Amino acid sequence: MAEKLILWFDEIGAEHNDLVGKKCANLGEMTKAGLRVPPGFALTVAVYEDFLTRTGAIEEMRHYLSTFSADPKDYAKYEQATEVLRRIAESKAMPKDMEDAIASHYEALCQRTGLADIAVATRSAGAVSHPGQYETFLNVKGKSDLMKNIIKVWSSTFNTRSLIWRAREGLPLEFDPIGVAVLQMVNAKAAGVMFTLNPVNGDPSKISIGANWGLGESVVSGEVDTDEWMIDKVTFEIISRKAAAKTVEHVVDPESGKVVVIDIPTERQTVPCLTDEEVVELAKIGKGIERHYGRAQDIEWAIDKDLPFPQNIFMVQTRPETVWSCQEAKPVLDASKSTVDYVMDIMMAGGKITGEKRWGRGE
Amino acid sequence: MAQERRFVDPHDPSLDIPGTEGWQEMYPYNHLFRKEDPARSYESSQFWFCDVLHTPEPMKPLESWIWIVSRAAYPTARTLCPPPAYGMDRRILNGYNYCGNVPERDPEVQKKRAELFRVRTSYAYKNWEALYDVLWHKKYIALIDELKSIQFPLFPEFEDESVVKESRGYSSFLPLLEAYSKLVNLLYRAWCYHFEFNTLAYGANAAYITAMKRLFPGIGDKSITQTVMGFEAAVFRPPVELQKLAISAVETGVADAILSCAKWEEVPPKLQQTDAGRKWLDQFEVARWPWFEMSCGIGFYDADSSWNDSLDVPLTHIKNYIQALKRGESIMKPLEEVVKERDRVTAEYRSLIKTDEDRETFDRMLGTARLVAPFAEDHIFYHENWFHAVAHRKFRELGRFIVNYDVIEDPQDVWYFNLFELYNVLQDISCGWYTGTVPLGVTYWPPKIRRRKEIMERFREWRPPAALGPAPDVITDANVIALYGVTTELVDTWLEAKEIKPEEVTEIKGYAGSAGVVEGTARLCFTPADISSLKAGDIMVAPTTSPTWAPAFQIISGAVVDVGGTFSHGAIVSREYRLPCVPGTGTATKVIRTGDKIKVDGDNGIVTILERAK
Repeated sequence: MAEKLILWFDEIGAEHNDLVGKKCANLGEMTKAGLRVPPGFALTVAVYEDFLTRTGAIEEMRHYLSTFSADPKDYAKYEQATEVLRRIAESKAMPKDMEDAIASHYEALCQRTGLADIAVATRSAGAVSHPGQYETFLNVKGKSDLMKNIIKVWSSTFNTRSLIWRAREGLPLEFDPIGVAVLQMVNAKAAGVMFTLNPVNGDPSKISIGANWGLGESVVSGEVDTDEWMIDKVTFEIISRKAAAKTVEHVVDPESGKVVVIDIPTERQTVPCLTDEEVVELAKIGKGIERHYGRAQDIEWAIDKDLPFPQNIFMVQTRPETVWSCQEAKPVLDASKSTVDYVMDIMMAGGKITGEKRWGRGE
Repeated sequence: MAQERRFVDPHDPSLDIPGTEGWQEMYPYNHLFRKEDPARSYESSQFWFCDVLHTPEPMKPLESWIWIVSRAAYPTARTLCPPPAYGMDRRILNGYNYCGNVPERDPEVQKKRAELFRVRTSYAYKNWEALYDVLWHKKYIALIDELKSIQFPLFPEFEDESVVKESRGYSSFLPLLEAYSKLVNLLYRAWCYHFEFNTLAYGANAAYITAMKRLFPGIGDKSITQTVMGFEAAVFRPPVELQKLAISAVETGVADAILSCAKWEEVPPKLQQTDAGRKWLDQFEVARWPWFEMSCGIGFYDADSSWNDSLDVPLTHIKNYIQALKRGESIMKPLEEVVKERDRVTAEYRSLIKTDEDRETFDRMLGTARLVAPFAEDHIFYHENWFHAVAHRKFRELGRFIVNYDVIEDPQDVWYFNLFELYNVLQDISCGWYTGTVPLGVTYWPPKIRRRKEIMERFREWRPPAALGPAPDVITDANVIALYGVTTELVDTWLEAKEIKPEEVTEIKGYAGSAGVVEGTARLCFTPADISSLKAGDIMVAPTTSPTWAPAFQIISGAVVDVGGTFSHGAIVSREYRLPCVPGTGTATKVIRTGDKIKVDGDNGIVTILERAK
């Protein structure tokens, strides 16, 4: 297997979207931009193709699919197909040279971080965004588990939602090449999302952060009420903050090594999961990411439990914000009014000078 | 609920302080709440707030001249004609100043006023450079020169023969009365000049804030201020002059000699002994006129005095700066740094505006806000400090004059006459002089002054209510809001405070005046004299502050102020010293006690009482 089928994040960038998939290209681009991204490498989409072809999996799948026909509305039928196709993919062993190449990268990663059998996350990376995400596996340790999980990521291209979507689009069902990102697990104390604008009104002078204790999964999936901060993008002043009652978090179970959902003890629920220092540092990083990409971003990040500030802050994903960025901007001030008109407005209206309610008042 | 939005009526007997009966005669009749109608019913229907920003303490009769004069000199009501209001009505109650906004409710009249306001205000903004930067400064300095030239020489035993030969016709009593009248007239004139640009400056500032809040919902007041800062202003000069003197003292080797002096009177004899010392004294002499015409307080009280009248004060500042220099700290904050940060912040906000149309409006409004901003800082030096220092010196000169004719024993007793009584006293002395009789005041005034001193003592023990009369739904004067920080919200806080027991309060809300969070021991300071009680790291809790409370800000770790908004002195100075500050709390000095452990959250404008003093 050609060595270039696996690439370190610092070897790739946004221009390698088709080669390694969007998420990998993005992690590469962030690494290049000098951001603190968990170290790791990308398997190109070619590895996926290579795996399915050389193991004969694709032949078996085509054979099975030659007799498969179902209305895209027939969910149950596609569920059955998923079961078969995934079983085919996951029953195949990785070709030796492929396994060696991945293993040598994994070893290099262990060496680089100084951690034996380093825990990694294996994340899917399609060249285009798909409705219905492919799967991600967290806290993967050791070479043998890594191989198994990479195959599982690949086989997740046969999950039911994706199959139905491909059927609707008239795309081949047996084939959807994706890249895989293998990156160091952040032992997250807290994690969450960050928008480089105010998601409520599109105000571009703000940075908004949502966070929960533990791994970022609970925030990304939207299953918990999150702590929220609004930061001024220019001065990095924390303008508002909301401490939510956070009831559950995703953590790695130290015994099983699996990611589990646990209850947050009452006394910890309303404690803000970030310090002001961390909030401001995140905002500064967010502003830098936006500047790098030249547009508003929707970012995922995590804060490591063990590392000291600010080395504990990691960016794990960024993508363009799409809700407000695509809207046409309209003026909010009346350009026909002079300063004197404004002064008069204020005098007539009275009390409006302080405008909005001050934070913390009158809830 | 309606009847709850009401403070105590200004005529309520509960406001009478036992033992002060007859206090009203200390002040002119038309500056008091009246017992008779129609004044009484107007006063009862009006909302009055206590002007603790300017008068945190009761005023002696002559100290009330400022409010007598400024009330009459408020010219913008009929010059600029702001459509919804005529400005401030004022009353004195138990020595305290109460302000009431006088609205115009007739839409027709409002319309007429609006037309005038538009034309006149636009003209003033367009010609600001000529009207303010050039003409205002010129006429203001000329006024102070004229004030300084007024003299009150003692009467001669016999008039000079020129009175006869040159057909002068009058004797020295007339120049005395003329000099006093001139003094009074100049007080009125100065206050007219003071108000000339007030509404324009605060209005443009408020308009800009409103626009910024619309462009960037939730933007902090502090960030808005940052886009306007970075200009030279007279009020920034005095500290700079002190810093320059400290630096020069260290560089020329006279620093230790200065540090060894506890009082200013020890400094000249010691420094006269060396060349470097004499040179430094010359520098000091140049710097102090006019830059040490700074009030040691807020400039409205006799006791505030000025640096020039109490050189121990600038000496203390200089010694503090010398010590900071010796610790290796840099004491001067270069303006270029402030300007650089202002330009960065402004450029960034500007680039975040989504449409070109809004960007143009923003540019226009920022331009006006920056144009007028220096006025806010300039007039504080020229008027509140320099002019008041000179005027108060004139009153003290009058005191010394009157002592010579035995009407008062101590020159400082002059402060127990009011502005109009003084003319009468001078006339009484004049008659006594030329008829060779004893002025009647010799027996009339001493018991009265003793009584007035007793009354003042009682006044000082009294806590004035924050407001009187019915609370309005909204406040409609840009000055009231921007300068006094009296907003609808603050009034609500006062209304709540009526109900609360101070000892049960654990949290007070105000403005985010200056960023940062600090915990420490609270110390209440009602006057600049209380600053000496502050210990390093204390959190100062004050009814109001002014730039001349500067020594406090070098010691404290945070500030909490009853009144004022983001543009108030306390907030501005705190930002300079990078201290957390929460102004506009309304009730801090009533709720917090010296010794309480408190937390000042300047990021959010919240003060938390962590632990009560035992």
